Amino acid sequence: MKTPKALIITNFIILITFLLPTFYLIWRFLTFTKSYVSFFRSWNVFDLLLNTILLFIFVVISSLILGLLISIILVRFNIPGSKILFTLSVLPLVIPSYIGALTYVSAFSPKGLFVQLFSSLGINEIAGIDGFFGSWLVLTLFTYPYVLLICSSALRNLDSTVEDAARSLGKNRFNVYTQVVIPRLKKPIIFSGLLVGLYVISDFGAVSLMRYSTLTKAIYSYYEFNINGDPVIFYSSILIVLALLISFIQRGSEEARSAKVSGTPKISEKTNLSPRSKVLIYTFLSLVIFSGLILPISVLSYWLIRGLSAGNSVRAVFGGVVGSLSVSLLAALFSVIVSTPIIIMVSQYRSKFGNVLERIMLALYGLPHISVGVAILFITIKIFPSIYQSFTALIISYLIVFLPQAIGAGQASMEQVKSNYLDASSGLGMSKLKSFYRITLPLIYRGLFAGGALVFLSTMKELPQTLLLRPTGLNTMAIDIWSYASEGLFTQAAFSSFILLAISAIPTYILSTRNLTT
Amino acid sequence: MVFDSLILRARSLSKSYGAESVLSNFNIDIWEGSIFGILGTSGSGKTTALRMLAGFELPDSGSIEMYNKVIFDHETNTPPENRNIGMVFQDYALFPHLNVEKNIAFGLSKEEQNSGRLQEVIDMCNLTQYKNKFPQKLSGGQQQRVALARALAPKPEMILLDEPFTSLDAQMARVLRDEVVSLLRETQTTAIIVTHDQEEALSVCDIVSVLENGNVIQSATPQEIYLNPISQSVANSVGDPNILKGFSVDGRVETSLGSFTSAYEGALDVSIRPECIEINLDSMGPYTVKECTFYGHDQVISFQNNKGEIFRSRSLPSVIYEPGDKICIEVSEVTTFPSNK
Repeated sequence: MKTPKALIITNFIILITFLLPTFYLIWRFLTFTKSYVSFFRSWNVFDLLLNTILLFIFVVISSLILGLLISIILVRFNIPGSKILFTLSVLPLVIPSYIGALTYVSAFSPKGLFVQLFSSLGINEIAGIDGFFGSWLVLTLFTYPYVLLICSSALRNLDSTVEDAARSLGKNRFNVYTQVVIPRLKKPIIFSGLLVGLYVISDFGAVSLMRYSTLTKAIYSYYEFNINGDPVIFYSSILIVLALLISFIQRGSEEARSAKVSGTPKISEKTNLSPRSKVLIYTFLSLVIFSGLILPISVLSYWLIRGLSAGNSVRAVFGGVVGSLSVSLLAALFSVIVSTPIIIMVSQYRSKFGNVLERIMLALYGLPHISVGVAILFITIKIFPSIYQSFTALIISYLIVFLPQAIGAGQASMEQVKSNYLDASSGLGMSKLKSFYRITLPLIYRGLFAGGALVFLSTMKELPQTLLLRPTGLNTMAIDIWSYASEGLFTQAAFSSFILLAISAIPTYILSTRNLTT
Repeated sequence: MVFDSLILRARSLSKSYGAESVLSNFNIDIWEGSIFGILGTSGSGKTTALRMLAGFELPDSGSIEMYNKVIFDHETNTPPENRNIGMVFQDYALFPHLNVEKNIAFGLSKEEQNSGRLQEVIDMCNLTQYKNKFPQKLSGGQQQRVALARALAPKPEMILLDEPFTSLDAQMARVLRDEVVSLLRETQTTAIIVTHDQEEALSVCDIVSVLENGNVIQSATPQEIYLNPISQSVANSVGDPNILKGFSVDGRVETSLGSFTSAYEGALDVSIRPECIEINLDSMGPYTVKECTFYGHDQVISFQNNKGEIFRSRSLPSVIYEPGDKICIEVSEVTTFPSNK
């Protein structure tokens, strides 16, 4: 089918807008006047890069170990309550890294909550959790659920006759895991590991609260220090290249994932455990769930109750709530509007442009928010001053990083719209527009809604772009939480954190219980 | 063929999932060097039996011995990796992350791999040219060869084959069956083949057990099973006999196809294989040809009597029969069973 011209033009404009920040950063990077050598010397680039990569490596490895171990335990062993344990182990995913970091910082700072609670036992000061260790701990606890989700579903679908074959060839249970099961999970492991890696290098909230100097933290510090600074551009472009590289490798690993030997998979039976091993496993899982879920929620509750009983006003957080809700709803609404023509083009019309569009959109997934924010900031300052610090610029910036989520959800539902439905419709005398209205839209609106809900959730939690681009007077909960926490005002931060988590819970619940894509 | 040493003995194995009994009182004796067939329809419990012998599934009761050593009973359970029983799975279960050579080498220690055993097995199964390929890239027949090579490599005491040729097209299955059997014979490997295909069981195996609803109903040589089935259901599971009802008095039974001698008295089922009915064109004959299906090496003619009962005869392809032709018949062999009301 020939693609309508209007669709091509619309998508072309969207595509250009999307590529703009990346190209702008690269262009600025290439046209620097100072010599590169002096950059490297004066701005401790190597230290920052090393810190970022160190954190990347450590968090990826620890998340993989944790996520994989829990996947194997919950999928392959007979453990009473494994369903609820799975849900509890995945839940830390909904806690933004800066809220996680704030709970750990406030609980374990040298004179923090922990010391206050246990001062009667003679503990007056502890070393505190911050810097590399703190960032590593917090990022691991809030990213391992990605590995758990991806690897456990892969593990569930693994054909277990292959494992029977390995046993009949003389391998014991442990060897079967090291030689057959884990090697067969290689692709989901690489995919989820790199997903965690993307998250780590882009993270701003946790590292800044933990005072660990990575590229993202440096970008923001330089931005606060001097808005026209070349370092901001320079670091942002390094970060974006790093992210594109990871994202590229990740795509490659995903495409190769479908290779499969013929035959229907036989699902593995769950192995029974001795009472001793069960105790060991429950202890381990409790420890993980405690650190990732119970501790953060308890610490927040403590600060909330203390704040309320001290008579702190809740009214101060209202501005943030209203701000968050309005930008999130706007972003969700526009994401649906903008993603629809892309979804239609990619799934309904097989064309070269459609393929290119799809690939670029996929590649753009995982761009570091702070880099995109910086790019949009400088583009608005230098090229479009009329939208500098406007809602327009902020929403465009959100869409650039979150649109792939909306497209993904929409595309899944678009698979129901077989092209012969539209042929049948035009055979019955409907115009293309009428066919869209009467066939396509009723079939895909749930998927579009799901996509919008995802964007809503992500925007609610978004921090660095909002910090860089917010119009004067706009406050969001994320900004409130982060800035209160930075100043050590934990009771105020806890108010907003609770409201943020509570509001996020609604769309999360709807998305997880109802299959909105079909 | 004569077999003189018992390698495996299973006694009264049973297994049920909840209220559903999958296998009850399963007994077999496997002789060293023999090829043993377990014949049954899907759901008869044959794969469960095989998985128990291999150690993948725990029987609820019973015992398994290998070379007079208990490998399973109520207090012993040797794990599959220590049973030294090779297995070829229905869908081959090749390791998708390893190439052909590494798949075959999987069960071999480093020393064994270097001793030349690996190359020997690869040569034996004609896989030299595929050894660097991945399983996904191979045809079904080639995958089957790899699965067999992998199972044979560690020189197991015996090898279990679960519906080994079902996933292949008919012609490939026949070619591979011959190949596999001659390989097993050459290497004097003891084997158990589980199959639903009667032709496969009869042509390949030294001894066949017919399994139905989790029970072994007859274990014997293929000839014995075919010619002297112990019950009507065995007769049905090998070949496609005409079953007639009759009542025997003084050792003779009257049926629609004539009068025969019988070992039993009273109500009887009389089983007559199609190839035991010879037919001849005869314009005065009491039967009428209804349909003729031509297979090349033979043909099956269905005919009816004046009561409208339909029977089948298998004959050589030389004579052409048309529907409506009158025929007479001669029955060479019948088997009778007490009727199961």
